[in-house]
Amino acid sequence: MRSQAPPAGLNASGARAVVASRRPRRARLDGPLRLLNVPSVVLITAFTLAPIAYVAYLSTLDLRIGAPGSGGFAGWANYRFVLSDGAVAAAFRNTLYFTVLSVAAATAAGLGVALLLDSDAPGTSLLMAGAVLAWGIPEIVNASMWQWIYNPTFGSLNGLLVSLHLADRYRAWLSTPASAMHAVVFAYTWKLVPFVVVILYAALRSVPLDYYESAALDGAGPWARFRYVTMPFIAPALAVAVLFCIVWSMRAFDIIYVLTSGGPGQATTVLSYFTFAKAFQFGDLGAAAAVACLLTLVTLALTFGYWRALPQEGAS
Amino acid sequence: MAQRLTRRAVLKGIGGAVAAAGVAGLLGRRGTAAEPVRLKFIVWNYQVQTVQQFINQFEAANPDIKVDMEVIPGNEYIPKIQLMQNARTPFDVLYVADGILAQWSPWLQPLDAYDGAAALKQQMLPVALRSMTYKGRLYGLPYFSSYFALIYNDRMLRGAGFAAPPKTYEEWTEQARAIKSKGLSKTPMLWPVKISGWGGMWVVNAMAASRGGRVLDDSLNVTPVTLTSLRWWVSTYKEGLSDPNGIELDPNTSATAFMGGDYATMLSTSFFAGPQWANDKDKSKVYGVTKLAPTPALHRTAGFARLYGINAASAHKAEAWRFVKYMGGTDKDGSYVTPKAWVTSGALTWGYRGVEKDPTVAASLRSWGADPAQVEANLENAVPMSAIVPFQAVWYSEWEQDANGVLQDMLVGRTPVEQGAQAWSAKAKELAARYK
Repeated sequence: MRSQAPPAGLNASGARAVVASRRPRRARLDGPLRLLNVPSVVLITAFTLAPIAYVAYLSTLDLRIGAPGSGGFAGWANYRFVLSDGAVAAAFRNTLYFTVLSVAAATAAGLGVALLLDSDAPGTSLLMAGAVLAWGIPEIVNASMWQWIYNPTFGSLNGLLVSLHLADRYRAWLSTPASAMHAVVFAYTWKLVPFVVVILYAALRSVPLDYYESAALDGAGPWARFRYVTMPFIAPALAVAVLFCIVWSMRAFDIIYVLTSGGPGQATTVLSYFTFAKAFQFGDLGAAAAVACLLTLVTLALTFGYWRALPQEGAS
Repeated sequence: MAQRLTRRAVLKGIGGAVAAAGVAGLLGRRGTAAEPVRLKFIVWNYQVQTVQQFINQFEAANPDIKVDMEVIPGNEYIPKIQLMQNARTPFDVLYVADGILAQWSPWLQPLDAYDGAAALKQQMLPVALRSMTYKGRLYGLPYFSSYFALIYNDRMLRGAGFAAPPKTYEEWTEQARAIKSKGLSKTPMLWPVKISGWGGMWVVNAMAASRGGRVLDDSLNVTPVTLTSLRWWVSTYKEGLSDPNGIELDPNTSATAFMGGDYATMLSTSFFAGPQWANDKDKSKVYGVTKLAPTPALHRTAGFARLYGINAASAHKAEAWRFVKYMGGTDKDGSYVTPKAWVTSGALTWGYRGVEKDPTVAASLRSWGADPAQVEANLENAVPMSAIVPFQAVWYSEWEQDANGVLQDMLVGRTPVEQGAQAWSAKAKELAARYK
């Protein structure tokens, strides 16, 4: 059934045609034109690869500010220390939970909003403006805004719930591990959704209406049209959006820093916050660098695994 | 006579210009000799207008020095300074919290040898001197020193039939029960127990001190006195006498919450009862009825200090010392100008003996119901944090943050007290081994 569905044909006439038409242009970049890559290679090396290498180097040093005898080569000692630290394991679990939940929620909500926007229903332009506005808010401002919303004594969420008689008293949303983690995920997802919306909306607008009409003539209902027409077209964009969301969520920091500082207990301490605290609050730079390297490796492994799990080009 | 424009003429012109610039440069250099030295002074964001006034006064009395103040939000202060220091960003003078002194001591300038330091040390309160001394060296002069006290809503206590604040922990519980049962407050007790910053653990320190003990013994095990304090504290949460929302409140936000008038008591630093906080007639609903009382049990209290330090890498250490001496000590006439002014403008108490005798200071304290003699006695007898916990261990701040998290779990019943205490002890031993 699925092999007979539009994707193969669509790809042949649509997406693949685009890819095929680009290949000759790529080929023309051979030779001296490849020098055009030099500025970006230099920038990436200077601002991404070199700092990563430097952090990897720091992770092999004994750098504990104020500690006697600090400053020498430590080999794998920092890695042994952090891997045996229960707090790192807890932070790793929190990071995974936070990432899975926020990416799933952002993807689902983003897809829903994008489909709504694509339906050209009344008020969608306003919705689009709202989505872009939310996307434009700096992360630290977003975090501060949610800090006010969740405030246990004058927060607007409490005010709203009480005024609607959905709650009888003001609650401290960030005071229990479960509610704190989910409140943080919600606030972070709110900021992540617009990105997914923009990416998917652009992909949705590229789906030719002819295919929907053909599918409708063949008797396909809304779900079948979504599954066999829409999804194949937006799948590459969706994959990219999810990939970005994974990477960003793995290193989410501002929202945790402002809302919970990793608490209550260690309930919302994720690896990025743990690294920050270790380095800049407690002065254990070597151990912090080791955690940062581990976080980089985990992020790379997750994204690589995700990428490998995606269907390859040409696979039906 | 018209001159011909030739290459030689142009070269002559360039040579003349260079020579003129050189002469001007020399003259300029001679001029810069009279230029004032510029000091970069890093502060956190508490009453920066007051700090600027002090700077203006200092500059007026010392025209050869100019001070540029840079303000960093309080909750970002330590990491930002750490970053600046790692990046070798130049600065001369800064606020230092006593809890971070051990970590920062490698790059702070010891002050013992400076002119007038010995005389100032002799006048310092024990809590201030010990808070600013690390491994026998003085690393700062007091910005302020303070102590933990019972801050209470006298109107609410009287409404429940109590003429005086509690003198024991048991009495404290009884009063809270009565206030709650009379409907005067849903949760009479408020505690600042947010995980970050100084919060819950400092309250634990204050409770241990008030019972005459320490939190950790020499073997880094939790002491029986601390276990007793914790059990009592947890029981107030179980009974619904303590507000669970306090888990989200740091000392500042809990003081703001107290100002709303819904609470009977709060154990926090004394200055939160001052006219800038609970006794602020414009902002506080408990203005005029908020009072200070000693901590219960033995009435011993925990004290601490904040200090002005000098960056050892400063190129202007002599000028920095003059500035620090003015800010954290005396002016040219030997008067404690800023320590006195901080009492009236910020409710921040002093680090030197005798400041309370100043009529302005005494009047300011009395204006919001504080007894100058009692404040002085509390400051004089305050137990330094380093006598209660390993406050000057390099690893203390890391332990404190971890312990704050465990404490939150204990208070709301997620972790039994004994288990939490074991976690504190285990973490302290682990960190002590790492930083041995």
